[in-house]
Amino acid sequence: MTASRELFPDAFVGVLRRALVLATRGGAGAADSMRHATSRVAEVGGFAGHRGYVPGDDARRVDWSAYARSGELVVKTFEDERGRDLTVLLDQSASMELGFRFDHSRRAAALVSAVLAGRGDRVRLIAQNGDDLREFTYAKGRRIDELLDWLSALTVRGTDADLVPSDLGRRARLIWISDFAEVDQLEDRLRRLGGVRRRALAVLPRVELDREILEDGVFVLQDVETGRNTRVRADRRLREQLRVELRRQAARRREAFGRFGVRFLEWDPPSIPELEGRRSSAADWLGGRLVTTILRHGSAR
Amino acid sequence: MDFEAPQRLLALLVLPLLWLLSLRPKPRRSFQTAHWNVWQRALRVQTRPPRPRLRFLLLALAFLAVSLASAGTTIGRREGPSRLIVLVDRSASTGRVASPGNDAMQVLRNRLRDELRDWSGETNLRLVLCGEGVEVEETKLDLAFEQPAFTTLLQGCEVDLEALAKAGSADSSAAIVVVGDEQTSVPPSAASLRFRSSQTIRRGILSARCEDDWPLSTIRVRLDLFDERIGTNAEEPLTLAVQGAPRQIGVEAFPIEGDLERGVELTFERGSGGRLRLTLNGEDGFEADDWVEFVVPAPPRRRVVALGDSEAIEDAAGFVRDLFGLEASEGSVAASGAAVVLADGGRFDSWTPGMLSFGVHTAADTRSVEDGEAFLVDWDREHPLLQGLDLSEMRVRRRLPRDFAPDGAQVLLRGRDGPLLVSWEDDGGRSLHAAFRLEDSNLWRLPAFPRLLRRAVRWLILGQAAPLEPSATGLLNRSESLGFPERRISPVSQEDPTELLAAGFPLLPADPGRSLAAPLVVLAILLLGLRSLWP
Repeated sequence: MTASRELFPDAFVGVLRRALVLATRGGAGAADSMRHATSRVAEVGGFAGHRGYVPGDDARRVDWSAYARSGELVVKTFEDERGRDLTVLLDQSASMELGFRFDHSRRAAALVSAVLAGRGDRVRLIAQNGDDLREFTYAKGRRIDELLDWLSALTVRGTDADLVPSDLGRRARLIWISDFAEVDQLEDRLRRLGGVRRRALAVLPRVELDREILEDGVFVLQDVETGRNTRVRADRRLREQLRVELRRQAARRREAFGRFGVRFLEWDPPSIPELEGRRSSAADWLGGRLVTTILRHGSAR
Repeated sequence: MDFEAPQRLLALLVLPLLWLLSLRPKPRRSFQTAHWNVWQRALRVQTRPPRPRLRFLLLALAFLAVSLASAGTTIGRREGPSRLIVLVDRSASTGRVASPGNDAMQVLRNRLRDELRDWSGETNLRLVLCGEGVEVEETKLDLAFEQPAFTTLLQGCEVDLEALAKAGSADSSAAIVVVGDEQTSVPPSAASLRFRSSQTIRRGILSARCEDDWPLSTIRVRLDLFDERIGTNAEEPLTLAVQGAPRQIGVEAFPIEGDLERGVELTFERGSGGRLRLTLNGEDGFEADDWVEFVVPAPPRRRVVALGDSEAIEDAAGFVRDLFGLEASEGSVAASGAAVVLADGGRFDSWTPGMLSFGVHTAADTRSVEDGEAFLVDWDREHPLLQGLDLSEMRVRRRLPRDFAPDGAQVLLRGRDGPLLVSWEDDGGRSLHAAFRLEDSNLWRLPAFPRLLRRAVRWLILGQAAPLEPSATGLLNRSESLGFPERRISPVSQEDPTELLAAGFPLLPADPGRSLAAPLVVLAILLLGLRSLWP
């Protein structure tokens, strides 16, 4: 494996591989075991076949007739759940560097890609900063190392880019991983997404920095994207005002997502030490809110 | 703005250091944010941070004020002299009339008083009055103008005022003022008040000489005059007014030098003599050189005594009588009152003024004449009596001893064995003495003898009269009269007043000025107070 071991340590790679194996091994059974946390799967599209029941599957999808014939609990699968494209938009702007947000984003992108590809989906990863757009398609059959290498090679730079590729289909499914720092520009981008009726999920990996906890004193405040800076004398009054402004910005962000029908997920990613200490299984990861939501989003029509 | 200790302004070099020290330390911490706009909105509620430049400006101004106060800043300070030296040219040329009814020195004094109005009346003033000598008065400015000597004019100024002014200029604490006329040279370092006129007539008697025409009854007066017009074409003929007993009988004018100077010779019938005053017409404001006066003596006595029995002396006496119209006199020499005594041989008690003697012994000399030819070696060809005479053929058969003449006599004819003819002259008169009798020589037969005799008698008679020199004069000083072209300051008319040249004025005294130390310190305190109140 040539991927950065710092970005994708063994513990994470181990989780990733287990998730991939579970998603691919045993066909539907394995996948179902991973998706036990999925509370609802949309039954839309043509019948594709059966897979073994796993705890957590919706009882309404159990094919009781097949159970009567074979005596084994199986659930129905539909065409829409497999072989569909899903686009992951990864914000690569400089602001993503703060608080290792970009690392968390890339790990999330790797996990999502592995799970969905293992399930049979084709994941199109798009990373863009400024005019530099990089794209990688990951699907079942490709080595996961290629995915990790591609993610490791990404670097943050520049400002937020227009992350809406022009070749997206009108009904494309999107997962948009970003810090959504520029709320003022958010509405314009959401308007463009909404205009093509795409279903989108916005994921904000939350880091400690979002709370902007500061000490009193003088420091240089620098805009990480533009490099401009100013001298700031921080005091209690400024910190309180800053919290108010941050809350106000978060409210505006949620309001914007809600107004444009985009589901917004603020995700608290586990740290690597935490992952290693718990020796978590893929289910621990996948049982997290992120994967749950992603799988639900990915399965939704 | 002046500084008593400008070197203390070097403290201002500390300002850059103050600027560095006033800069806020650069924050060691930095914080990167993705929410720049959020921060900007949050920072709006914060009070605007203090402006270091304004705070430094207040500090720098306060420091500047303290530095200026330390350097002894003053305003209105003026470098200059603290006392006065006034050099007054009291020569006659300064005393002319400045304008009708105004005395020049009075005008100068009033103008000087006006020019020095900025000076305190208590200013020490050294009044240097220059005439034939120098008078120095140490006084106060207020009292200086009341000095009577200030306006007392003298005959001339023999003091080099320029040198005096230059010497005074060495004292930087004193201001030099020269008061005079354009004749007075003034160094550039001194202020001056001098008269000048653009239109003037300059006239004066530069020299005067009088000649006695005896035996004629006339005298001749020769004057060198100066007559110049400057800036005017006014026609005013040059005339001479004559006052006195002698009667003018003729006048002759002739040019001397250029167009400005001319000579005038006037002839007078002396009569019985008396005072003669000649005055140049046309007041030019400098009266001193406009007149000259002579005392013409009475005519000499007109008798001649011949002592001797030789044919030669009788012929000589007859010639003299005929030539000069003299009368023969009889009796002793003392009682005769003769103007000329012709003596040939014999013995006298002493030499008598007016005597022309030939081979005459004095009473103390008992020696006899010496036989043997006395050769004439030479004669004084430059002497007025002998000029142009040829005496080379003169022979003397016998003569007196070589030391017959008194000590101090001037030798006119020199023989091989001593003087043959001497002249004697003292305050009492003149006399001529020959070492030989006329009959012992061939002198009286020479062609030159009548001319010699005529000259000798005239010389003897004129030697008895007082010299005809000016007895009184306003000024007979050529350099003083001519001076510089503008020196004669005389207005031609009331419409052309004299111009008074003032150079080097205003002459301001030293002023210590007003110190700004206290106001600057107060200003510095106020600035520092304002800075401390500044957020």
